[in-house]
Amino acid sequence: MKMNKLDKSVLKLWYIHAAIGALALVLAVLGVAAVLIATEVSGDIVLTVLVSVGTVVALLLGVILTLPLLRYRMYAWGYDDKRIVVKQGVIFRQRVVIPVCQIQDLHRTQGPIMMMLKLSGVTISTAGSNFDISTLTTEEADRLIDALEQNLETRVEELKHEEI
Amino acid sequence: MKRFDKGYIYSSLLTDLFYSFVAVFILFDDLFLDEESPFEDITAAVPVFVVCFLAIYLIFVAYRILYYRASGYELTDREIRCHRGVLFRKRSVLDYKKVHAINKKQNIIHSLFGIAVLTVDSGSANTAHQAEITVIEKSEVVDALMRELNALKETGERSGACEPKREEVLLSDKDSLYCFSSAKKWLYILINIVSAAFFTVLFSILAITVIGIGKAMLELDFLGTWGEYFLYAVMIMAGGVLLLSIFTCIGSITHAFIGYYGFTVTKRDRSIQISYGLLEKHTNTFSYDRIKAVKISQGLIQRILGFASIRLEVIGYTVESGDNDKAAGLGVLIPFCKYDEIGEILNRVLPDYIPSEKRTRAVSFFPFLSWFLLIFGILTVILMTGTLALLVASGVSATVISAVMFGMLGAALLVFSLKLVSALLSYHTEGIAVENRKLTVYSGGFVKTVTVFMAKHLVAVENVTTPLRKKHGIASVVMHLKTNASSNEVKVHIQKDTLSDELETMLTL
Repeated sequence: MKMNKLDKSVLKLWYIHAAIGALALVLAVLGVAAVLIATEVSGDIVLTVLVSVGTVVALLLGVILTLPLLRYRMYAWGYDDKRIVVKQGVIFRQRVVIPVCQIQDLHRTQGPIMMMLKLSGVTISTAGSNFDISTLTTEEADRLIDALEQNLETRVEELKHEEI
Repeated sequence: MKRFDKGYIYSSLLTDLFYSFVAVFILFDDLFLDEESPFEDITAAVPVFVVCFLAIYLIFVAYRILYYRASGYELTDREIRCHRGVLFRKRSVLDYKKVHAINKKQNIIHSLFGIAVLTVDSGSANTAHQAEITVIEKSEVVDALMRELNALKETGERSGACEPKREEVLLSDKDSLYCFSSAKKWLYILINIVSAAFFTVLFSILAITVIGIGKAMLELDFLGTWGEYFLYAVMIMAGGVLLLSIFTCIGSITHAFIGYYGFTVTKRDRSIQISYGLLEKHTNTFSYDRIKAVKISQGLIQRILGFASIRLEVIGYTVESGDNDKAAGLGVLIPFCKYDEIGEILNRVLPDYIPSEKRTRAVSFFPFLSWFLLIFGILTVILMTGTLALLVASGVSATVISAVMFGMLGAALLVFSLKLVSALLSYHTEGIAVENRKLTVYSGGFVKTVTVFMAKHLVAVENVTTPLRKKHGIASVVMHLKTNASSNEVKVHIQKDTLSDELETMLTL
């Protein structure tokens, strides 16, 4: 089965999300610092808290900003007439196999930033869990949904005498 | 449309007496419970209380009458129809062919008025937390409806309905193979008490040790001499064990003797029926082909003594507990039995679901601990360093700092010891058997679970590994089962990574 990599614009989207997260984190730390200074806590304690929190936040910022690239490199997806395969994860690497015959419905979703970048998320619903194919270009997403619909019909026809 | 039985109004109004009483205190607490209450004595308050009570009760009366008038059901040729609701009206139509589960519930107030609640469900995700059809009728009418619906769900239409099938009692209180006898119930209670006492003693010893270290290092004089300290500690521990044992005993007696009163499993053609309960009688019926998995569980003490319980997972029923007819207690197949009896019991009730012998086992022990050690180690170091820095900055004495650090280290060691034991148990338990499209998954640490399910109920397979584990050919496998909850997963950890390939092949064949 041919495994596909994600489009470069997906990385752009993930970096925008990471930047928003990082900004929120920095604002939260600044807020904590302002509260500590306003409550007249002793200077040593404020310094200790700020150094500890600052170290953790710096580490978190490093993770937030490097994660999109690592995630992008590890992500791959593919499908054939019988199954859909999604590979993802940086440290814990997952490989999910979903049989085409178990598809209940397919969803394409877009948020405002995704719309600007012409990207879409695809969710595959089964009779159990839902599975996401993270983010594809809208064109790819439409092609995938059409192909899976076609494969599903063929597969259901093939398996109509079997219990699935 | 036939209306619900009038007993619904009477039984509801009886319970509403209690609700109205509580509502008066909640809504008018300022008037009756506040220190600045305008009433000087109780005789002055009673008439006002009665007026408030009657006003609230009248609202309940009006609601019950309106609900009664708005509710009804009918069995047409192909479907059962039901409508109910006052402010939000609901009309439900359920095709006989789509009937998934038929449940009867009768609590003690219902039985006073001879009524019961029948719920019929389609197993749809849209109605995961509420039954599709609800009928409140005389108990005998509900029994007749259950029989009729059981026949109709096979044929799909009324004209083609066959005679209700003969019932065969598989396992019951009187059955020789499985009987939740008084002796077994007492043993079940005893095991619950021993479990509660064991963990109370364990945590008490920990508390005594930690406080003892504090006493030694901080010279806590108010704890008395060492002799007095240990004497009081042991007395408090004994008191705690006794108190908890009494509560556990009362809870377990209620559960075993009242909750599981008259426990019976009955077979009716392709359906299985489980009945139990004294104060609240439950009768749950569902098709064999809707059974998704059989789960055999053993807690630590049960495991040591060789006992287990068997639960069923049924498609269309969520695993979460909740105050609704669909989730409550449905899962129990066998509340308590010897582990050795399981094969024999399942052979009579669900022969397809007899667990197979484990074919694979965990290939390495360290991965069960590695990530925990890394994350827990980092968190402990951060927490201890942060606390140390804060204490030093606050100018606390060296003795107090040492005592706090020892305490934190002790707590960390305890958590690590528990994880170590759990990891050892998991290492010996984890494994899987694949046999004729039947899967038996062995998993769990302190609580061992054996899950048996058919490949047809598997919707996806997930292989989870890390770069290092991949190098050694190790992976954990997550199996996603059919469910109408958000997800239902069965996991087996640290196996050979070829296992997921085998499952994938089976899944996509």
